[in-house]
Amino acid sequence: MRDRIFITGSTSTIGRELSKHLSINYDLILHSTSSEKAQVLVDSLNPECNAIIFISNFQDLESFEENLIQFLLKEKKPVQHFIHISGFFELRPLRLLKQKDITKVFSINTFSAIIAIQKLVSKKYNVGFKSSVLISSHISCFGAFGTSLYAASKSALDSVAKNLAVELAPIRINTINPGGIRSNSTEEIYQNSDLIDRIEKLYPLGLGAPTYLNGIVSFLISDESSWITGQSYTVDGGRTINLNS
Amino acid sequence: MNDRIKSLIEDLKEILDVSEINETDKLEDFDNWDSLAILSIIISFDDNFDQTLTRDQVTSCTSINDLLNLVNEG
Repeated sequence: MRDRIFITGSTSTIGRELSKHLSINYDLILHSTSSEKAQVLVDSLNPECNAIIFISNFQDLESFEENLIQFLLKEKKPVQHFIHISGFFELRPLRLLKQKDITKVFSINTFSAIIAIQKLVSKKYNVGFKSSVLISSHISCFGAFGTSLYAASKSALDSVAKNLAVELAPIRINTINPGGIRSNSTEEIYQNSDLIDRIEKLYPLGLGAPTYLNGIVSFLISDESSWITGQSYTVDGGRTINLNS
Repeated sequence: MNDRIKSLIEDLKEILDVSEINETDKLEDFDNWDSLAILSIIISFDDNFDQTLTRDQVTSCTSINDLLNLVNEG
C-alpha cells in the first residue's frame, strides 16, 4: 500500500513538478483552486498513482476547514504526509499595505497549513500521519523591499515547524526555504530581462528551475530523514550566503 | 473625481509621506522621492488601474500632474 500525500498548491509551477515526481512512489490528494488545472495534472501523473482532487480557496478559511473535514470523513483512507506549496506573493511596500492584503497573505501562506495539519493529526479524521513539509522561502530570515508581509508569513511557517516538531513528535515537520525559482507567480518580477540578469548574478548557482525541490522534499518525507525534524532547509543556489551583493 | 484617481492620490500621499498634495507639486521637491518611491508608484498603478508602468515613464515625470496624466482611462 502506497503512502498518501496531501499536497496544497499542486497545480502551481513547483507543485506540478513535485506532484509528478512524487506520483512515482506515492498516491496523491491534489489541492488546487482550479478543477481544470487539477484534472490536467492528474492526466500527467505516473499511471501507478492513485490521485484525487480537492478544490478549495484558502482565503475562506472556515469553508476550507469544513470542506477538509468532510473530505477526510468521506475518504476514510489514511493520509500519511502533508506538503504545503500554496503561497501568495506580491510586492507590498508598507505604505501601500491594506488589511485585506494581510488577511489574504497569511490565510493562504500560513493559516491554511496550520488548519490542515490540525485535521490530519486528529484521530477523528485521519490515522497514520507521519510527516509534513512546508514550503517557506529563503527570505524568511532576511529583509528586502516590499516583502515584509510575505516574509513574515513564511517566517511564521518556519516557527510553526519548530514548535509542532516538538509538540507532535514522532510526527516530523520541516520546512524548505527556496530561493528564486522561475514560476507563474514570480514572472511579474522577472519579466524584465535586465532585471533577470542582475538577479541571476547574485546567485552563485543561478536562478532555480521548478524541479529543483523534488529531491529535498522526497528526502524529508521518506524514512531516510527519520531523525530530522523542526528544520528549515535553504535551497537557493547560494543566494543568501552571498555577501557579494 | 474618479474613485481610482482618488485612490492613487491617497497612495501618492503615503508614498511621498505628505498630508497634502497639489497637481503642480514638483516630484524632486519631495524628501521621499527616491528609487523606492518610484517602485511604489509602479505598484500603485498596477493596483489601481491594472496598468504596468515602466521606470522610465515614472522618471520622465516632473510633477504630480505628469504622474496623473500617465493614467490610461481606457
